[in-house]
Amino acid sequence: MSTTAAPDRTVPVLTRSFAQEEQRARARAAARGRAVNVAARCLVPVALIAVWQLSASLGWVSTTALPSPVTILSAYGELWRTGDLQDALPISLQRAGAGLLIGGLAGLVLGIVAGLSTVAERLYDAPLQMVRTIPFIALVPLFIVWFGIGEESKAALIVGATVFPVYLNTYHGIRGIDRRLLELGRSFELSRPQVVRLVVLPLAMPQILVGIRYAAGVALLALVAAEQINTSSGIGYILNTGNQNQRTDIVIAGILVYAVLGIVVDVAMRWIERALLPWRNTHGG
Amino acid sequence: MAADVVRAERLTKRFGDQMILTDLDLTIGRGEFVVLVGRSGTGKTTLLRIIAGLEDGTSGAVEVAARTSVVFQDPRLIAAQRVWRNVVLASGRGKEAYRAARASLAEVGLENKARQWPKTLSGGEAQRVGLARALYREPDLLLLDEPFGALDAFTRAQAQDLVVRLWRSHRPGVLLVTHDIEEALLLADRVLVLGRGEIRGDLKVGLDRPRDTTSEAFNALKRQVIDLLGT
Repeated sequence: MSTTAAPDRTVPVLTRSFAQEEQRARARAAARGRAVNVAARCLVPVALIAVWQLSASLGWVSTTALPSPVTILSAYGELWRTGDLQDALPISLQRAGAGLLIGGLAGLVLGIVAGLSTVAERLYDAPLQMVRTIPFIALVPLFIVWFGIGEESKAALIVGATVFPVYLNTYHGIRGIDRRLLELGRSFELSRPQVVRLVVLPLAMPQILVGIRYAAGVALLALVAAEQINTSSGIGYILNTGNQNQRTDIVIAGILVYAVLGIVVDVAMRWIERALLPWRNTHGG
Repeated sequence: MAADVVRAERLTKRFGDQMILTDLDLTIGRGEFVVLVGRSGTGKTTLLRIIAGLEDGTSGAVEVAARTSVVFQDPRLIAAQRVWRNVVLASGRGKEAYRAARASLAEVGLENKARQWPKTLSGGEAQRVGLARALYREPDLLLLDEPFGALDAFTRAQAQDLVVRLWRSHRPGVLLVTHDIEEALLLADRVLVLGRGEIRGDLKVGLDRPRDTTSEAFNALKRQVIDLLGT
């Protein structure tokens, strides 16, 4: 008798309702969660700046060693009024940008050729890898001897620092492409340049952009090192004169300009990646 | 090259000591649908790749129609190019090429996917784009390397129908490679049985399409192919 009857027990269940009202409630909860997240992220930096300001105002630290945030803000005001900042920024950006452009292009071309041709790869990959292991900042004294203390040595330093990230990533990006797709060129009678344009560059682009992004960061780093060489212009000049006049507020202001440049470059690169790689975001990601 | 789209003479392929193809002769006429059937590792794909110009033979000669297209087992779409660009590749740009690509895609039932990215397609759809890409070039010879191998049974049956329909409207010579005997007999004018690098049988399939896989004649042919495949 009891074998046919279902056992009188309740089964634990999870209910997921897809009613509009509940979905909206979930969305609201998620938005609240995001707001809390943003607040949590801001908490530590804001607290640090507050402590910093407080310690300066209350005289806990010497204001010549560490000027208060307010003093640094007024240093920006001073730099702006005298026009120093407006003069320096384009010059520094131009140095970094030109170096990145030349170094990046060289890295791109070298990487494409090495990625496609085994002969080229054998010819120069090993030497490039050896040179790559030298920290570029160690080359500063040598570059001063070779290129002098003018713009040439600065440009050479930034170019030298940006070639390798782009070269390496381009080369690996191309080597990572499915060989079967390169075979398409032969099945559909595409020329070498057509294969590069239609298959190689688009598919290697994600990796190439990683290289360019990295190179952009390195360009700023090299810029800082380069602008320590006898500068008479640029952000490095502001730093140096601030240092000589024992104006720590101006030195910190200059350092922060470098930091902001780094953030701006990173955001710009993310934006470029999204614009250039629409095919990668098709999984809703 | 007037009457035939493929002519292979005494074609031999060797990998080291291993003979893949031995003194093979093969002719495919214009508009003829030939299916090459054989077990795995009998050199079917190697033969197709030699005909496609993707590999060289060791000795012998092949003559192949200048306009030849290939459809591979994997769709081989470029993920970074939109569907219609994958169809067009380097032959043309702009509105004109887009319209032509859409026309080709319409033939495989995918004209509304023209502007999508390949990643968003299902396996069967991607393979149909591969077909559209091949036919866009109006080939005299269409090479199909196990094109339905990765598809589920239902999708495969649809794709087989599609290939026959497209072959009827475009009339290229077709060489399709498969290890599926039933598929071979469903599609072919002529079935070639490949074993150990040699063509062991050349069967005319005189049945009307669409073919009934349960008919007496069909099964008689099937037994014949199985016998030829042997061990």
